[in-house]
Amino acid sequence: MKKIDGDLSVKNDEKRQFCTFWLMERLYGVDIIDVKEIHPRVDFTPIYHSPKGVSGYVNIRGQVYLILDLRPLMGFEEGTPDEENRLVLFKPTVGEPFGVLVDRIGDVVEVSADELEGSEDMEDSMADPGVDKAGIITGVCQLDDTLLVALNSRNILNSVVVGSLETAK
Amino acid sequence: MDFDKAIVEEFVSEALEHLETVEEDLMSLESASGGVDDELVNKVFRAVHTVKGTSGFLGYTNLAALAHVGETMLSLIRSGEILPESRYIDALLMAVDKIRTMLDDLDNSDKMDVSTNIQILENLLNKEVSGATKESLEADAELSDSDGQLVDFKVTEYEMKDSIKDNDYIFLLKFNLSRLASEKGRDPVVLMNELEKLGEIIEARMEHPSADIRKGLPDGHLLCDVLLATKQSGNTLCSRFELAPENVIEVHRREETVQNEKTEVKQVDVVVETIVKEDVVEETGTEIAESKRKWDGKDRRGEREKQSFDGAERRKDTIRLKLGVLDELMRLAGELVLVRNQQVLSLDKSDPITRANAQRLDVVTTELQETIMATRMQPIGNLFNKFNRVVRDLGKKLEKRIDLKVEGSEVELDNTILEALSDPMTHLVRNCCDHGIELPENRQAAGKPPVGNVILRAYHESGQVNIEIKDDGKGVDCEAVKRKLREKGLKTEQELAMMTDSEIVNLILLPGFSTAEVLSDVSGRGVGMDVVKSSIEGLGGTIEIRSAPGKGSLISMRLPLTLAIIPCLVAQVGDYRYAIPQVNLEELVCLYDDDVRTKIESAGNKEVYRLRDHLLPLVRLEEVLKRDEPFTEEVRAGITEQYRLEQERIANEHQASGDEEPYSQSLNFAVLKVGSNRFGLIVDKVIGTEEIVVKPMHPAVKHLDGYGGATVMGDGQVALILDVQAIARYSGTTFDKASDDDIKKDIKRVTEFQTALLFTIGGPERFAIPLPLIKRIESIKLTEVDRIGDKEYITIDGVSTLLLRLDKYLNVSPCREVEEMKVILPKHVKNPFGIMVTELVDTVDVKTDLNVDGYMENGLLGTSILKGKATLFLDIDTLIGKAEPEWFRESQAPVFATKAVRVLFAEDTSFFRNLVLSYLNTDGYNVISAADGQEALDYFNAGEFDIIVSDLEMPVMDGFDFMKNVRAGSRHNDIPSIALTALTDESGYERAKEAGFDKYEVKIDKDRLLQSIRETLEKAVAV
Repeated sequence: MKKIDGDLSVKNDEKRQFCTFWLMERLYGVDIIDVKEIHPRVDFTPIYHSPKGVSGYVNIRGQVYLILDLRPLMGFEEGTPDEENRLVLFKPTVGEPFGVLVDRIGDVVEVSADELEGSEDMEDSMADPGVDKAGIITGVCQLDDTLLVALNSRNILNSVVVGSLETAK
Repeated sequence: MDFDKAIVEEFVSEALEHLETVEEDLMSLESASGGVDDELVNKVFRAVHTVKGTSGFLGYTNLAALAHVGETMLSLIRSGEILPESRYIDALLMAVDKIRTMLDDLDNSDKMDVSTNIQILENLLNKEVSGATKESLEADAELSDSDGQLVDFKVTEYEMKDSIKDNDYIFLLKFNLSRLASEKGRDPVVLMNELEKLGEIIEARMEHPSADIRKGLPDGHLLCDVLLATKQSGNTLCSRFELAPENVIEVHRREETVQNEKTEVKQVDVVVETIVKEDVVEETGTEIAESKRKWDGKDRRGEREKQSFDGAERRKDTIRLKLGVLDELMRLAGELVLVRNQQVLSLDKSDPITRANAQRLDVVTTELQETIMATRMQPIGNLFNKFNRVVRDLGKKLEKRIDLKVEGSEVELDNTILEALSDPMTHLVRNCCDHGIELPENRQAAGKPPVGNVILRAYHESGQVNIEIKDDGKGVDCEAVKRKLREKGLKTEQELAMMTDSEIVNLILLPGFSTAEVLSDVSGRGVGMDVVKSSIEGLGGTIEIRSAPGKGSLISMRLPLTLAIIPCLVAQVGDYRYAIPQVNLEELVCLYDDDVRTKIESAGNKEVYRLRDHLLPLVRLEEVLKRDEPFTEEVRAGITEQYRLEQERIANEHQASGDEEPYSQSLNFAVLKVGSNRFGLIVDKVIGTEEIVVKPMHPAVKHLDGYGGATVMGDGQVALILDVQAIARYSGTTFDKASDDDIKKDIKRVTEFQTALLFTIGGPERFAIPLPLIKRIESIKLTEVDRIGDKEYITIDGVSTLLLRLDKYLNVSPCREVEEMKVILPKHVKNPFGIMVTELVDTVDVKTDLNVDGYMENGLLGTSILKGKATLFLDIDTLIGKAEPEWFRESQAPVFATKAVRVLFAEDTSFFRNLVLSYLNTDGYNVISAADGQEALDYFNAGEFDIIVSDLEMPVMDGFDFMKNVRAGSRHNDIPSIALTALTDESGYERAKEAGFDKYEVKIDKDRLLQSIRETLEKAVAV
């Protein structure tokens, strides 16, 4: 039995739903429980001097969200937004209002917990393990035609907060 | 069960509200001269009574017991048995405090010790109360129902007598709480309130005292008996509370003697009462009660009833809300505004009906937003009233007589500000009482009334709230302040001499200042005034102190109405808008056409604009946003140069095109204020002023300097709010503030470019000293100079200071003596000395690359042509070394005297190279100097060295790379090294360490540098 860390330590026969999205032609997913909504707005107010991975602020119906660009956080080059890009906005339970910018949105995928493999077993499958210091990646799962990389939404935000604290020092 | 928690919560918040008024009222009772205000006593009594009743009801016995004793004392005051003298009020206030503590921690209230408080109150009662009353206080009343059956209910005679006075009947009501709660939704607190409105609850008790309803109402029937004195008939009560007739029992008192007592006082009442009591049986009480009410319409009873009625009305008017709900409402309103804006944009304006609708939508939305905003506002009276108690208690403690007057209680402020004001205000009021107001005898001696006044005043002025704290005490003693400042070394004699009294008074806001001769526990701990200042400033306000000696002092504060909404100037840079808080804004300047080129000058490496005879440093917001790191001198110089060239290019192109028309361009900047300093912030476009709703920065970007928050603009875009202070810091817009000894800052200024003081000693030679190295300049008279041997001394700041004459140590023309000579006092020196000069010429900005190949002499850093004349730059350290060699004796013996230590020294700026070289040479080192890292590396690879001293910022190869190369090399890669730099921030230090430097020193601190070299060498040898 593979050890599964963090919030994935649920009962093995339990099904989890992932909201999936594409990033550089790879499939990623976050737990759908954490997701508030998907939004097509991609014009941000940039915050100059902000740490790597922060795209800027956006106002969604009166609420100001901090938008993180998932590409640099996952070790990819930043891209220029196009109309297929979407924002995945998270619920307040995950942290102060924030969302991530993704290339395009995928389907909702149901995965049972024992199909998910813990992150320590898949070092080789990731582009650069050094990128994920904050523990954003929590597991992978082989789907029919592709590999789904499960992300921890809290750690996405934490990776920026922690990074910013380090620069502040 | 939430239901029960809700009951308790409601009880607590209501009880606290009651206590709030009780405290005030008790104090006004105490201070009321001539006669007791019956209504007031009554109000207090009822409040305490309610607390007692409800807490008994909910089973908090300790709380009820304390409230009960307090109530008894109040009832005695009400009956005129005792007068509201200070000792009673003191005891009552103490009891109120205790009750409040218990309410704060209700669950443990039964464990708290209330016996002391009860004892104090009871002792007072026992001592003061007449025999008869005392008896009735102790005796239990015997009650019987209409059939003469004895009713078992423990109530003292006194209570009975007291409550029956104004009421017609006494009923014993039997409630079934469980049924009430489950079927009617009436919780006990609501029930108590209703009962209070109808009459007076004499006592309430639980049928099963063992049942703890805090843990939830038990499933069975929970019965509660309430003894109620009322004017209402039994029938009314039956229907009102839906009680079965058998649960409403009218009771009488067994002894009729009490009735007789009353007869003497109020015959009419008794007659009526008797009639009424007879009639009750026939159930016609209501009518008679009616007629009775008409009867004594002018009686205070009528008034009281009216009042309690008012009270009931008032209660309905207000509800308690969670702040979160308001915030949410506010957000929704903001969203509505956005929807409206989009709606208005998309409408077909040609249709008059749609247009009218759109306008209405517009108006309603705006009003809605304003109204919601208003809900956050609270009258400042809520805060001011707290100080009655503070002043009263302090007055007692300090044996002073102080009156507190309050004006403008109705002025409203945002709740958040009000809360944040509480602590600083308390401190200020305490200060007034402690330091300001004199003892009564001192006041009289000064011809003032013995009672001192402290006045709190609030009023609106130009969109801000002014709060004043005024006292008629002795004012701030300027001399004492000066003395203290000197003692603590916060200011020097000269600085003080230049200040006006009002400036000095405001210095008490400096950190670490306190004028109290004796430290008291009231104030004077020396922390506080600066905290007050910073908290007021944190709220976006200002504070100022004025004082008239002997007459009093006035502290005035200006605060914004709200923190959530601030008026801002909205400006645009690139595609995005930025909000600049209006409090920072002084004015807007727009330059057109050729003025853009000609009116912006460069001073040093800064762009400046001459605004009404003042030089205003300019900062380009675009450049600030573009750069991730705070500006360095180089960056600033680069920006200045870039824009200057740009302007020149435009001008040239224009000229070349031969166009007659002047070319058109414009430049906007906002003149911003930071403390007492100002700078101009250049933006692309000024959009206008707007009231914006502030949203705090997201935690992930909170650490960023330069932003105060974010806001949503009318079109739904997010705009960032600028932190003006941080921008000034970031862009290095340093203001010439006389904060001397700040070596770090000086070094920054010495690098590359600097201002130098030009002077002569009467001859044709011009001398110069870099301004940052000068502490100050003194004027002296030659007659004041003392001569000891061949040396001259003068006393400055009480210190004997050695005078240097340049002609004695340098080969220059002799000094021309005039009656008043100037003395230049250098900074960063161990022993005090000054350079005597005849005439100061000017200060000029100079490039720091000095000519060292031409005329050179020990004691000079080099020469330079300034204003067309050769100028000698003095090396102060060598000069003093020449004059007083023994001052340097210790340091002149190099540690490794056997063999000259070889130092490899890299530094790109010739000024610094010469300066540091002179240090090293005086200490006897053998120095090879290089102009950049590459050169140094070449030397290093070619020769043998004992230590490396290197600058960090250098062209070709910087210090970091140089050291990395050294450490990576194969030969002598463990050589000790010291980084020498103007960078004083932590990150530079870290980087230097990473690169492989052993130590890190700042450039112009000679002693430390030499010390550091010695230590590093010793360590290297030891290893």
